This record gives sequence, C-alpha cells and structure tokens, in this order.
Amino acid sequence: MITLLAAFGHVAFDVLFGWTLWSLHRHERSWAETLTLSVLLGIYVETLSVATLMFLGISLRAAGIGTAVAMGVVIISAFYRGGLRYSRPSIERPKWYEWALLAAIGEKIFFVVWQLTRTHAYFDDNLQHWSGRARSLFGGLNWSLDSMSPFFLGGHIGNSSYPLQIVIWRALTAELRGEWNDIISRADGLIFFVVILGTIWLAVRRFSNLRWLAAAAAFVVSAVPLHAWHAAAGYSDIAVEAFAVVSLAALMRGEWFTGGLMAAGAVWSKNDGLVLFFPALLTAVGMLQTRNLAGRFEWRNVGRFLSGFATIAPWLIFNYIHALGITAGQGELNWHSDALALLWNAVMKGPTSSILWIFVFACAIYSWVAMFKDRTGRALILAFSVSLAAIVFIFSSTSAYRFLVDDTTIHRTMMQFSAMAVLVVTYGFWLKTRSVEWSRPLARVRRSKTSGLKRG
Amino acid sequence: MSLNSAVLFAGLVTATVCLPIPARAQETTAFVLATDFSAQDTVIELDIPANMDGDSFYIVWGIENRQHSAISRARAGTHCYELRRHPQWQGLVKAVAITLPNVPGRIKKATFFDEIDMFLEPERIAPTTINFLTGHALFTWSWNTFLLIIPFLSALWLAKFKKKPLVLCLALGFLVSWSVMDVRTTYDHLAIMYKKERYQQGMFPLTDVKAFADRASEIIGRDPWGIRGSVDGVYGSFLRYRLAEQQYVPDGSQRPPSYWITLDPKGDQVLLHQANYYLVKNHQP
Repeated sequence: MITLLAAFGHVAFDVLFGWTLWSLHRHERSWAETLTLSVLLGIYVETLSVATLMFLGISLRAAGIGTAVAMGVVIISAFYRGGLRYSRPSIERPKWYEWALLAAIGEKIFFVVWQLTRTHAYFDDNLQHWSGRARSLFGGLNWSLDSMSPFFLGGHIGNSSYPLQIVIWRALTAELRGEWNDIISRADGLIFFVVILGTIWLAVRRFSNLRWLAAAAAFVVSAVPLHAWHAAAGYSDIAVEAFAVVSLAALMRGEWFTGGLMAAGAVWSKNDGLVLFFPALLTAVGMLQTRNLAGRFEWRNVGRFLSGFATIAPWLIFNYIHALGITAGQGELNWHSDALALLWNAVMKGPTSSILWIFVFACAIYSWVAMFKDRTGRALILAFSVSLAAIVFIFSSTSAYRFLVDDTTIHRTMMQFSAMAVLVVTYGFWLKTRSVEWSRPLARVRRSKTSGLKRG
Repeated sequence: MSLNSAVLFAGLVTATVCLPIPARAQETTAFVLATDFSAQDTVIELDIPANMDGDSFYIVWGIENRQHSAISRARAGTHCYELRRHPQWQGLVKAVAITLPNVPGRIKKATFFDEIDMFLEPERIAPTTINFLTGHALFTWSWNTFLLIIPFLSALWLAKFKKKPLVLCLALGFLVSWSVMDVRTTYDHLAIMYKKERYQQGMFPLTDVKAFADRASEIIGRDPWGIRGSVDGVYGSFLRYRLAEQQYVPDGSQRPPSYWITLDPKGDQVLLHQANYYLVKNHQP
C-alpha cells in the first residue's frame, strides 16, 4: 500500500509540475487534455533533468533531490504569482455505452493491479533492461557512468544503449519509498495505459464532437489483448505508445512545441520512438503546414516542433559520445524475402492482436481518398503510412528480422503503433461518413416520403 | 500397454522435447495413454490433480516411424486437450503419451460440452505472454475466424432492422465482435486470477529460482557474489535482477566474489540448494 502511495505520489508531483509548465503559456485545452499532457511532461522533464545531472557526475540521490527542489520552486513560485491556470473540471453524466467502456477499462485496471500486487517481476526484458538496470541504479553498487566499467549504464544486466526514462523514474520512486520492490518495477505501465485511453477519448471527442465515437475508439484500444499485460509488465513499449499518441493528438490541436516534446519523450522511453515514430510525427507536422499539397509552408511551426524535440539533446549527445547506438543487434541492412509473409501471418492471422489490424487496414483503405482531400487527414494518413513503412522496413531489412521470426518483438511493436493507428483510422472513418446521422448510431432510420431519411 | 506405464518413447522424447528447465537438456519420460487408434476427430482427456494445475507438459505421439509433439498446460480436473488442429495429428497413431506422471487419461471424440470446455481453456502466464498470446479455438476453428464472421452477421442485422448505411453497420459490427473478443479476454483474466489465488503455485517457471534467490540474498548480505558457469535465459536474468542491489562480480573480474551461484557445485561447500541452483562459498583468494 505504501509502495502504491509512493508511486502515485510521485506521479502526482510530476502532474503538478507538468501542469505548472503548461500554465506558463496560453493554450486552448480542456482540463482533461492538460492532465494527460501533464503526466507525461512531468515524468519526461524530471527524468531528463536527473539524467543530465548524472551525466555531469552527480549521484542519483543528489540529482533527484536537486531536481525535486527545482520542480517544487517552480510550482510554488507559479502558485504565488498566480501563474497556475486551470479550467474547472466538467464531467458529463455518462451514457450507457460510457458505463460499458468504464466497466471494460475497470476490468483491465483490476487485472493490472492484481498482477502488480500478487505477482513478482517476471518478464525477461523487464528483469534485464528496465527494472534490472533501475534496481542496479537504485542500489548504486552495480552502476557506473564510466564507459570502461562493466557496470556502465547497467550494462552487466541489460542493454546500455536503451534510454533511461523508465529506469530513472523507477529508481527515484524507490528512493522515495526507501526500498525497491516489485510493484515499483512495473507500476508506471498502468499510468501510461490510462494516459493512452484518455488521450484517444479526448482526441476523438475533440475532432468529432461525438461521445459514442470517442468511447468506441477508447474501447478498441483498451481491449487490445497485449495492453492488459504490458500495463503491468514493466516494459517500455507502452510508454513509447503513450508518448507517440499524445504527440499526435497535440499536433492535431496545432500544439507544435508540445508535439515535439512528446515525440522526444517517446525517444526517451525506448529507441523505437526515434526510428518508428519520430519520422511519422515529423511528416505529420510537415503536412499540417500546407492548406494543399502546393501551398505555402509554415516553417516556423516545424521549427517549434523540432525545438520541442531538441530537448532530448542531452541523451542523444551522451549516446553519440559513448557510441551507444540505437539498436541491440548489428546495424547491417539485408532484405529477407520471407519477411512479408511472416509479417502478414503475425499481424493479420495471429491471436495476439486478434482482428484489430484487419479492420484498421480496411478502414484506412476505405477512407484513404477522403483523408487525402483533408489537410489533417492527409497528415494523419501519411504519418500512419510512414510508421507502418518503418515497421515493415525494420523487420524485413535489418537484424530485427530475427525478432519477427521468433515472435519476440513484432507484436509489441504493433501494440506500440495501435493507439496511433486507431486514432488515425477513427479520424478517417469520421471524415468519410460525416454525412451520416451520427449522434445516435443505433437509432432506427425510416424512409420519409417528404424529407428522405428520418430517425425513428 | 496399460495406462501410465513408463515408456519407450523416452529416447525419442529426449531428442525433441526441450522442457523449460535451466541448463542442459534432461531425460524426460513419457507415459503412454493409448496405442493403435485413428486420430480422426479425437482429442485426449486427462484427469489432472489440483497440485499439477498449470504445469507444462508434452503430448507425444508416433505415426509410422515419426514422432511428433505438442506442448500444453495442465488444467486441474478432467478436461480435454485439443490436438485436431495439429497438422500431424492424423492417420493411424501407434501410441500417444504425455510427460506427466500418474495422470489417468484416454482418447475420445469431443462432445459439444468438451468443445466449449476446450474453448474456455484460459490463457496462462508464461514468459512468452509478453510477446504473443496462444489464442483459442472453437470446434477446431480459430477464435479469430468467429470474430471475423460476427461483424458481418451484426452488420446484416443492423442493416435490416436499423436501416443504417452498410459502412456504419460494418463498423458497429466490428465493435460487437471486439466486445465479444473482450468478454472472452476478460474470462481469461478472471481464470488466471482465480487459479493463481486458489492453487498458489507461484510464477512458473521461475518458482524455484525465486525461492532460491530470496534465500540467497539473505545469506549473501553485503558480500560480493557472482555466477559460475552459465545460468541461461530468464533464470539468469531473474537472479541478476533479484540481487541487483548486492555487489555483483562479473565474469573475468580480478577480485573473486565471496559467493558463487552455480548449477554445478563441484564439491564446494554448499550453503543453499534449491532445485538446480546452488549457493557455494568461494574459498579461493
């Protein structure tokens, strides 16, 4: 119980700090949109600041205390200067399908909390790269920033080229709790899961103004079978997914700098963010700057996105200096002729994603033309295509092919992509069918002799 | 041959069966359930005692001069185990055996209730669960096939009775199908929680290494430790994770550790022994 309090107290502090930062400049967001952004911004800024101080030779504890004090000062000074802006939370009375959605999500959360409290850290990558390194960092004995040491970035237990966001956040939570335990090693997954669902719901509600469509999209993502496991597994895939979809949602609202920050957060979660999602998000930013394909390009907004993304520089510079790289395997390119068939079988036929991708691709094809005629739609479908192309390329032409053959990563990567994909095709579907009477999709329609379609 | 007689598949089984046991391959004995029968439409039924629930085992069968195997997880009670979807489960089977001792079993044609019971076999927590799920089948068809049919049936119903455009009907049909899938997934979650709470069997296959590591951590205390030889895969990962706050001495280090964790004690003083794992004191300077 104390551990859960420590973990969620840590999140609450990050939320407060994130909220304070968002209050520093004008925006037109709902309180709920600001809340989802604040969670991720707080985690991102806190862990990146601690990492930067550690790169400069400061210990985890000192860097954590220094960062926490700085964050506290920012919050308090903003509070006393009246800089904290918030809109009053407004919660509408749930409709029946929203109760159903809440029940479905509630079941997942119950299962996740059960896993956190009744099972121990179990899955291999978490034991190695994420919680293995985090526990080593917290313990302090098996951790070093000397690149000649076998303990460099926890390299004796995990892959030292993997980013440190989750590692540092868990180590700081353990510092806060005063000890390490298996809840700390996995609890953040639940936070990312909730952020993903909230972001999908809010983004769809914003562009469509349809509550049932927002609930449907959030339900589809919540029920992706791997999510209930990854929300309690301690892997970083769900963190990448959260940052990527929040970035895309921010870009749909025209928040370029925010989108860049969140894209950086995806990279800070796992290297996949750099390869699979940053190019797609950059494409979306570019396409959103033109009214039509031949229109004037707003370089300034691209610059805002890139400046948000540039905040990840401390890690990328550190990575470059120490030649850590971004892949666990060799970097050679080599086309594998059977990769497409394997991908097809894994994605379309297997039970892991069930029938999700069949309908996602069908929906993308169905709305393709309508998407290209719409500025936002064009940006979204191209971002979708770029991410998908990157996934196909990585698994068919690099050493990651072996993770396709042995089924160890492909489904996780598709899960990372699922929230973004559902958001994109929901937009496309809405765009394509805007003329339909949407507000009550199950209401019976009867023909009227005088006025065409009528709702009965 | 009678049920549960130890079998002669052993040599073959050793070659093909790779049970998730750390370190080297181990001799595994299989126990015959039935001989000389047609595989057509048959499944096997086992009476599993409660203490074996969740245990991983192999079903091994021979056709002509070839041996085939399928991995399965034991379900406490009397349940059928699906083999009909296995491409090699056909023709005249010379013998079928399982790697669980003292478990009565038989070959049978699945009844309707057996079909439903096999469909309700829960997903299990396994080291691979994080990467992929094993899925379900109903009447030998993949569950996905049913989930693909449901949207079209739902769409037809909606189009007929609600008079909505076909595309909207298909989208709503997908939501119906996705909801059905989610209900089945929810059943999996509930079954997993129920079984784990009821049988209290730990997290297979890490049960032994966890018990060992917890105790070893107390003995090692603040002294340095290392791993002698290799402890492969997730078992080695778990040991390093569990002891990550205690001074680890990597391979090739000039300063030897005070304790070794090993699979082979080599005559050293054993301080702790659990399953295949040994904690030994290092007496070399």
